[in-house]
Amino acid sequence: MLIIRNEIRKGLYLDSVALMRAARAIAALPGVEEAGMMMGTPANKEILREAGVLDEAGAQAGPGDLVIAVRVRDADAAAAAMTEARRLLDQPRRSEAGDASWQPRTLRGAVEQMPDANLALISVPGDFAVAEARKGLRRGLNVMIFSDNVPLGQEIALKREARDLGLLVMGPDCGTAIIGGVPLAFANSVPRGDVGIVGASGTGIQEVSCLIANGGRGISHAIGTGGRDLTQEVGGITTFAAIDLLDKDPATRHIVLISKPPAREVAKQVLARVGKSAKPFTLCLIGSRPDAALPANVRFAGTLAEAAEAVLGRKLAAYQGALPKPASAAKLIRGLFCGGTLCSEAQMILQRSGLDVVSNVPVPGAERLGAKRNAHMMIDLGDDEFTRGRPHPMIEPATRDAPLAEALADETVGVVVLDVVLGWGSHPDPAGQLVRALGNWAGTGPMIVASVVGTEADPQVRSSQVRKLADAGIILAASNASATEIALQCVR
Amino acid sequence: MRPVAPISVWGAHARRFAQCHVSAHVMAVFARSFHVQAGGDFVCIGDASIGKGPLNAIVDDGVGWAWAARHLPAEGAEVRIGEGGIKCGRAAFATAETSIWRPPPWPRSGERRVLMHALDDLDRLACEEAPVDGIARVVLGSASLPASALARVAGPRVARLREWASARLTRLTHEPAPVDLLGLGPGLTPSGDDLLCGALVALRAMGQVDAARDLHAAIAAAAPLATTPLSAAFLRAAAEGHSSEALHRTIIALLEHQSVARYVKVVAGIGHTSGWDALAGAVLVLRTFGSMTGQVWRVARPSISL
Repeated sequence: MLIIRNEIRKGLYLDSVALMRAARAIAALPGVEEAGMMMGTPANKEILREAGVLDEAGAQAGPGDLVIAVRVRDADAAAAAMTEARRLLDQPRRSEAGDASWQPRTLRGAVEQMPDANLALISVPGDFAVAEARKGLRRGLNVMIFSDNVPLGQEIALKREARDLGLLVMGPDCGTAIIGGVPLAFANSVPRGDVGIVGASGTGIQEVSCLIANGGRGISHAIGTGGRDLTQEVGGITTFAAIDLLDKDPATRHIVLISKPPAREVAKQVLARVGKSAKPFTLCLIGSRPDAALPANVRFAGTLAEAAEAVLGRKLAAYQGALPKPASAAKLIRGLFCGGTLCSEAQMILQRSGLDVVSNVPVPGAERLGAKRNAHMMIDLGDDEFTRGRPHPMIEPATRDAPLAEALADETVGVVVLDVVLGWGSHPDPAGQLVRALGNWAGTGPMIVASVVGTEADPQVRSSQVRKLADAGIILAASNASATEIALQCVR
Repeated sequence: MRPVAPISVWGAHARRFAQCHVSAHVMAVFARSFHVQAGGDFVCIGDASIGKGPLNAIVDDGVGWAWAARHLPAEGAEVRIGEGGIKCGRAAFATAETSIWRPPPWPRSGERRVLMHALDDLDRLACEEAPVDGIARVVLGSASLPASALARVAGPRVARLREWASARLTRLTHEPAPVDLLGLGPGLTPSGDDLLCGALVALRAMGQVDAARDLHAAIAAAAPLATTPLSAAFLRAAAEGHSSEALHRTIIALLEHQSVARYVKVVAGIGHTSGWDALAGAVLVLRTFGSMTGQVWRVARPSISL
């Protein structure tokens, strides 16, 4: 004999799509002949009664109550149906995985849901990223490719197709962009303003945009190009497209270009192009200066901080505190970075001062890890060798715990330099995690100097993160370059 | 410093909510919005995807919304409403510079022929696109009733509403409007309520203020026992001629016989069936009106302001 079972949920409000999906899921369970989930209005109770699923309990429901009603084969089926209903209705509704609304599973489905979209952010394994990017371009979307491991030849073909269509391909391996005030992937909350950024460097864009924001100006757009864009092979396709866009954008009044040193011929073309603009440019090439003379509207910046200073028209605040000296034997600087560009910048600054530097991602003039003893070691913990099968240190700061412990235990290390990168995509409390990892350090052993990339509007709130680090005895610098300079002064 | 998410635009009823209440409570929290209730009044605060509407307050600063959404308290928590801001839990919203959304103006006149052609086009679109759930198909797109229990119950009630509208628009009746569609159907705003919302807005669009008032009087009398408080709030707004921007633009497109397909796409995205159900209610009134007007219809428009 069939059983009718009703359960009343008072004060439970789910959007209608979620209710519909839950009702269908219950109706599909074994042993369920009929199911309904409706508000207990008189009209709906009539429907449920007519459908043969209303019992005495359900008949007592008020208009603001949700009635879960089933007609089932037996008591076991009733219990299972109600258990599943409770599970579906009580699912978290604010999880990062999304709410109970239908999510499209294809680019086409997404475009149908959002016909006015003009950008697709692609984060799938590299083998599939190009195909998805091409689908996006052919639907008139600009594309940001977060994925890496895209073959160079495919990047070139994709960017040429985008250029022909008048669209932009940011990437591959583009981890940071800010478009129309919206931070994409790993990016920070910065105010809208009149400074545009074109960058082949994720954390480079992050630090410059944050320094500019903290200095009182804002960002119109920050366009990531992908790390290979300024190579001879790619020829700067996205960089040139980005420059054109920012040049035409009435809201942009100053443009910053951030990159490793480009291929020589590409560098000449870039300089020729920016020289035609009426807008001022700041060119930040980590590690070198272009050979050719700079056009009149272009200013060179050797570090990310200098780029921000060029935009702001003033120097960033210098560190004012006293600098303790490490023990005489402890003269080496160990850098442990989440940001690859910040690691490169630190290497360049140390080399410029005549020091020997080794790294897992050596810049020109530095050597690979292990090549030299008694060299200053700069480690990019976000490089593939550290992140294979593990989260990136910006997402999971605990990735830095072991190398940090090792550095603090090394009697030759006088100063440890760290970057703490805030913003969307980053860990919710990297400073807290770092302080916990330091444990009983309390200023004994090597000193620690850190820079915090972030703003007050970031989810982590920069000042709160800075306070935690300062309370733990860490020396705080205004920028990564400044942190490296402070470390230098400590060991000299 | 706690970030404050600016509410960039809100509907007239959302603004009224903030003017009339100093405290409220969180009624429901969703991924892109949350509902706040005080004394039977509601406001829905969310990101831009909720669309403009009378009860909606939009934070279109994506960063600001994302932070606020992560710090909303649970259902039942207190909400404080002050001059220039709304606070709930650790989330805070600024309203000092919020602009008011008002529905776009209705066309003042048009050709009957044009309206009827547009309604026929919509019927054809509805045949393919209108959801099987809900009650839109009882009005739109199908000559025969679908088989669902809901549609079987709704069919005669829709017919009674149509008869009343026909009689009322020709002033042949002062009978109370039938409101047995109230509370009928799935969702927080039942399908029958959504249909009635669309009917109310369309009556206002055609300048039939008295008819809208009569229909809402019957709804308001029945609502406390017949439907959810949230739905009753939407019906109050509709009675004043305010509904979602998407529905307004679709009705305007019908009156001017613009291509309705793209507007219908937006309306279709409202709730599971709410958008289509509301559109069906509007069509019910527009067809009734169109069948009795002259070659050219004109509306003497009273001004509505809040």
